[in-house]
This record gives sequence, structure tokens and C-alpha cells, in this order.
Amino acid sequence: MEPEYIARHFVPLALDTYFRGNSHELEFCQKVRAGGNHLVVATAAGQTLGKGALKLRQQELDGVLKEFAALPQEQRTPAIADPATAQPPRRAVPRPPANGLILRGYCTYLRHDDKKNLVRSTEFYYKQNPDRWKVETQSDLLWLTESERKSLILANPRPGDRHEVAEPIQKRFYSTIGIDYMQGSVSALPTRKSTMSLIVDKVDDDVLVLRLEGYAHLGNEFDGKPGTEAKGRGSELRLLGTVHYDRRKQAITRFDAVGVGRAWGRRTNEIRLDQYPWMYGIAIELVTGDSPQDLIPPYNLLHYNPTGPYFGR
Amino acid sequence: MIAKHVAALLVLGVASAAAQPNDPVPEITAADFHRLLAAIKPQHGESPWREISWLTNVTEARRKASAENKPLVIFTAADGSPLSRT
Repeated sequence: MEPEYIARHFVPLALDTYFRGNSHELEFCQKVRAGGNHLVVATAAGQTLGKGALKLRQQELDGVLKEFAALPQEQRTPAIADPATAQPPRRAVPRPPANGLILRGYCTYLRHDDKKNLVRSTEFYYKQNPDRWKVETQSDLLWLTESERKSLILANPRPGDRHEVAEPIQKRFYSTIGIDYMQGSVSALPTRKSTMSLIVDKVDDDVLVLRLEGYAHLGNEFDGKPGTEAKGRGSELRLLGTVHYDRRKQAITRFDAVGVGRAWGRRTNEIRLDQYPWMYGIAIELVTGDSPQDLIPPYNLLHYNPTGPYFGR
Repeated sequence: MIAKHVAALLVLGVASAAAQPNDPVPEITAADFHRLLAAIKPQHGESPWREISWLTNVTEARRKASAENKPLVIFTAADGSPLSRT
């Protein structure tokens, strides 16, 4: 599948399956049956195209394009009703906090190679996976409020100064994007114990460079039993990163971090029980919030967060 | 002399705060940091669908589709947004 092909011939729209839109938008989604784990191709007027389970592949979508071209113009280029005439969403999609910070996290499995270096593991996601697809990197986001963002940077920093990141930030970071979320729809894990420190590596009139170090114990403690007898999920994560702050612009310009973790607990399909506990890695980067993809809510803001409110203390 | 002792104690204090002896996850070395940062992020060509410039608003997408005479391709996941965890 080539992204250029999609961009050339389609308008791509990605929606939360629990989509919260205005009444016009909900009506459109219901009409075209958008939702769940699949792909729908439709006209702007709401007529679905193609048959069966479509995939993002030219071999199937070429036929859909022919079907589209044969439609009358009013189906292809309809007038779209003014959203001001729609009923507003009952629950609007949350927006990032104003003047806050958005971080993107990635998660994948790790293993040791023959030289005992930690490397990405590309083993199959499920042991019994009939399609044998390889693991795909997971991704999620983290939101900080404006005051939380400011709390990362101390006034009058000096080389060697160390300060502990505020506990609500630690908890949110570790419990949502510090866990193994390779399975996707997994709950946040409570933080049993954690540290997260920022240490001044370098400072001048222009730039402040901070080293980020941390460690977290998440979810259930490892009980030492084999994976087949495991119960609740848990993990431990070591974190290392670098944060750059432009002192003149008063803005964080870089936030790169790596986490190496061990995870345990029984889940469906006995994922990773051949290496138990298994190793996973996270990578963190700063996002600018320029594209729609940068603005979608973090997963556990809306789903599966038994640890409490996302911005809770 | 006293200053040197104090400095040494400070260094040890910092080291012990950063590394807990019984933690089973090993230290991440400076050399490994950049290597792992690249290795954990999505690899080139791994997920072409993530390279698509997805819109996330239905009205915006319908308007664009109508203006450009194109169909919409609407992607949803089983739980949440496909652009988040899948």
C-alpha cells in the first residue's frame, strides 16, 4: 500500500470507534456504518462503495474508484450542511490542554541478541497467529497541562542541579505510556513506586539541557511463577532521556527518552510466554501539535484507566 | 579537603539515587540510548498506513472530499482511535 496512492485518490479519515461528533457527523457515520475494526469507503454524500472487507490496497481500491467515477455529481460533490445547524456533540472529543506539552510514545518488544545487546524483537505477535504478521510498533500520546510543563523547568538552573518531576506527571507517564501496551486495548497500570528526575547537564543564556532519569514499578509485583500460572499484569521500567529548553523562547524544543522494561502477567493468547518475563521498550518524542494526528487524545484519557482521572492527583 | 569530601559524598549520593542495586532492569548506557531510540521507533516501511495524512474530523473530511471530487476512506479500530493504539 502506498500512502501517495491514497492521498492522490482519496480523502483519508481516521476516527475513534467511540466517535463523538455533532448530530450531522453521527448520522453520516451511522449511514456509512463506520466503526469497529474495519475500513469503509464512502462518498461525501454518504453512499458506501465497494463490497466486502476492504483493505488499504490498490488492487481493491481501484475498483472502488471506478464505482465512484460512475456516480452522479451530486453524490460525488454534495453540499455539506452547515455544522452550526447540527446538535452539538453530547461529549466532545477532548482537546490538548492549552499551552501544555504533548509527547508521543512508542512501544515495542525487545530481546537480547547473540552479543547480549538489547535489540528490537520482531517475533510474531501471537504464537498461534494464522496470518503470522510481525509485531507493529504501538503508539500513544501523553498530555501535560501548562502548569505541569512549566514545572519541568526550574528557575536559575545550575549544572548538576537535580529535581524530581511532580508525582502526578510521573504517575500519568509511567502508568499509561510507560507500560507494555503492545496489545493495544490494555488498562493503565497503577504506579506502585517510581522516581523521575531531571538533572541539569548544561546551561547557558540560550539553552538548558536536562538529563531525564527514572525507574518505575507498575501493577502487580512479579511473583516468580511461570507465565502459565501468572495472574495480574505488572512491569518495571528504567528511563533515560534528554530534554532541551530554549531559554529565550521559553519553550521545550526536544524531549527524547528511552525506557527499557520487563513485563509479566497472563493475557489472552499467551503472548510472549516463551520469554517470561518479557522485555519491552518505549521511546518518547516531542510533538508540535501541527497535524490532526498529533491532537488525538491519549488512549487512557478515554479508555481503561482504573488508576483514576487522567489529570488527577 | 573538606570540600573534596563533601563533593565525593554528593557524587555518591547522586549515583545511589539514580541506580538501585536490586533493580533487575539494567542501566541504559549513553551508547545504547541513541541506538535504542532509533530501534524502538517505527522502522522505515513498517506501517505505510501511518504515513498517510489522516484527517480526524468528519465535516472537514466531507468538505474536502466534495471540493476535490474524491471518495472518503474511513478507518476505524476496534477500540479507540486507529491513530492511537491499535
